[in-house]
Amino acid sequence: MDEQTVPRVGDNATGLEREVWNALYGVEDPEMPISIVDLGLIYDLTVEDGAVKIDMTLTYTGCPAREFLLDDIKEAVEAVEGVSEVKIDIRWTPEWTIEMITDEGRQSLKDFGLEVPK
Amino acid sequence: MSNTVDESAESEFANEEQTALATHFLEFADDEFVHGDRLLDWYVKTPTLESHITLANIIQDELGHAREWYERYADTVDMSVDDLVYERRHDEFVHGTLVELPFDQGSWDDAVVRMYLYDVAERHRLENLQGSTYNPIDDLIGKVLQEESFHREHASEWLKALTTDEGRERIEKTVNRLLPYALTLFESAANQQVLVDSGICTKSARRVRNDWFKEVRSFFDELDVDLQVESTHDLDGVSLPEYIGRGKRHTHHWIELHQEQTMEYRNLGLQETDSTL
Repeated sequence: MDEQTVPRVGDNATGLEREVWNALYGVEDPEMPISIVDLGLIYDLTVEDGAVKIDMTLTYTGCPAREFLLDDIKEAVEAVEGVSEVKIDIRWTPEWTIEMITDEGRQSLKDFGLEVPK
Repeated sequence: MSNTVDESAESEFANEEQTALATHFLEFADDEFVHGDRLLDWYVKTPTLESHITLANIIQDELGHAREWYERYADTVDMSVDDLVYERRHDEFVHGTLVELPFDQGSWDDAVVRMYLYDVAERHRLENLQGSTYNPIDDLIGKVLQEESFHREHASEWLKALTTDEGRERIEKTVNRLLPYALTLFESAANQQVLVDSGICTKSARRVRNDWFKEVRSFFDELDVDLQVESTHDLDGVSLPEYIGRGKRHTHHWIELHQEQTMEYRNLGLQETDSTL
């Protein structure tokens, strides 16, 4: 897996894919006010005929919020008009690190009172 | 990112490879699960607040890893992860007996020595799977190794602290008592030749054991702790404990722990099979 290309943030997405990215931006980490996209959890997203497939990671394997988070994501994406099904696969490679947090994410955390080291 | 994990990877393997792989997953899963669960005996009883927090994190990691291994095993059989934990009889668990033993008279040095032996073993076993031809493993290894490094650091630092002056003798006794049990982690019912030939692993369990021992030996040498086993050559002569687990017999401590683990599940009437036998 090419570590340079993850996480994905949906920069050039259009159409239904854009709508799905917007929905993902609306899902926050259960513990901090930061979007899961800005946290760098989304590794890949494909939309084909309304079927959405998301590859994502979690910050650690023992994450107790795993089920909540996956449910939140599913619910948010299923609510997008035109989406017929959502499949989420967890990937652990490459390993998530704080470098994957976007600048916007860093700002959200800073506003919350957390400074993420560069 | 390259394409996603090849979901048909399993079909690339012949039956005997499937069986070896599945056995390997379950041994990893049960080791992690029972180790994490047994460490709970120490939760909020460690000698420092910092250690409570560290231990809680370690337990959470081990259970998280167990879940990952169980999921991979569950893909090869028709069972859910919860079924694997709650619906199996105690004699269907395949962990090595090191992880099921209660802590000797509540001694913290037992916990620290055990964590050290286990975590170093885990690293060697994981590294043996790095670059595996089986994608669902390859995806996981880096993450688990990343999370494991502070476990070893925690155990090593405690061992250094506990081997100054009079503590050294106690640690020495504990290490030598637990060493044969630690060797059970390298016993495996999985066909090693098949695992190596198919590229799932790099080395046989015996070679992993020897590499593990060299590291353990040199660490304890530095601490001036004498092991009764001198070399990897002598390791072959060490008698394994009477109970080794791994598909063979477990100690009664495991039966008791398994009863505790599944009690609420049974009380709530959730069991589908009689797992109490």
